[in-house]
Amino acid sequence: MVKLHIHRERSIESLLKEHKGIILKVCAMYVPHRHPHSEEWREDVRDLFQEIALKLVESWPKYRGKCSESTWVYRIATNVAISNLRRFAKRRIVLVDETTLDLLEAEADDEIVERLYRRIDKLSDDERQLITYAIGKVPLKEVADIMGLTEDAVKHRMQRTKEKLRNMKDDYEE
Amino acid sequence: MTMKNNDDILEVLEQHWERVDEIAEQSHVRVVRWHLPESPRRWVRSIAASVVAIAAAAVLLFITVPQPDGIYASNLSHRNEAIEYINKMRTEVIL
Repeated sequence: MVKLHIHRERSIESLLKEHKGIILKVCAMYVPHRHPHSEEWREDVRDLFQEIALKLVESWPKYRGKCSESTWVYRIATNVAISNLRRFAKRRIVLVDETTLDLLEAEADDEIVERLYRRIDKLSDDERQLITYAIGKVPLKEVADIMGLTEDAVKHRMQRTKEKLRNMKDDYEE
Repeated sequence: MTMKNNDDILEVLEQHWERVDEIAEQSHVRVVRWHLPESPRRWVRSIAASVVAIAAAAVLLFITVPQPDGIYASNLSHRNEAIEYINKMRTEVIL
């Protein structure tokens, strides 16, 4: 059977409209929560959101549909979050409205969520990636492909990371 | 929201993500298009067009603007005739 590769044009707006939820979740997972209610934190979220959005548009022509589109977005977003955390572009191209940042901040204001993120901040890049994929319900096989591991290894590491997160002591308990 | 014991922590994260999804649904993201990086091909095209335009302007200037001796470069036969005439006059004056 001949497989047709159709070049699909995709604007930055349509990609963002569909996947801004995933981008925001990855931003929340990866922007450190040392100062959750500061302009520094909001600026980091704006920067990471922009970097992920631009990378998605840049990488779109290479997407061949081998995995689901949401898995592809998770993969790009976590890679950008890990590699670009400390070297963001200065120019503002993608603008997130202030209300969204206010709501995100208010959401992180919850004591339990704050505790959760303080624990997540202590995870390694790989562990954080695994938790992101697990909660994002990315299929095990696709996680294995992304991380270059066997499905069994992913399952084992995911379980271990979940246990680590559960058993981690909060700062005030130490 | 309560977290009675540590077993709930992943459930808390899932619920939190659902709320972030709701926030994203209501969010407005704007893209400032004119700052988007242009493709190299577009850059090459615009540079080539500029070079052609500058060359065309230079040729037009050379043809239409008179030379210091008042003769248009576009009419080279007149120019040659004039030079011949001047040389002839010079020769006559010297003689």
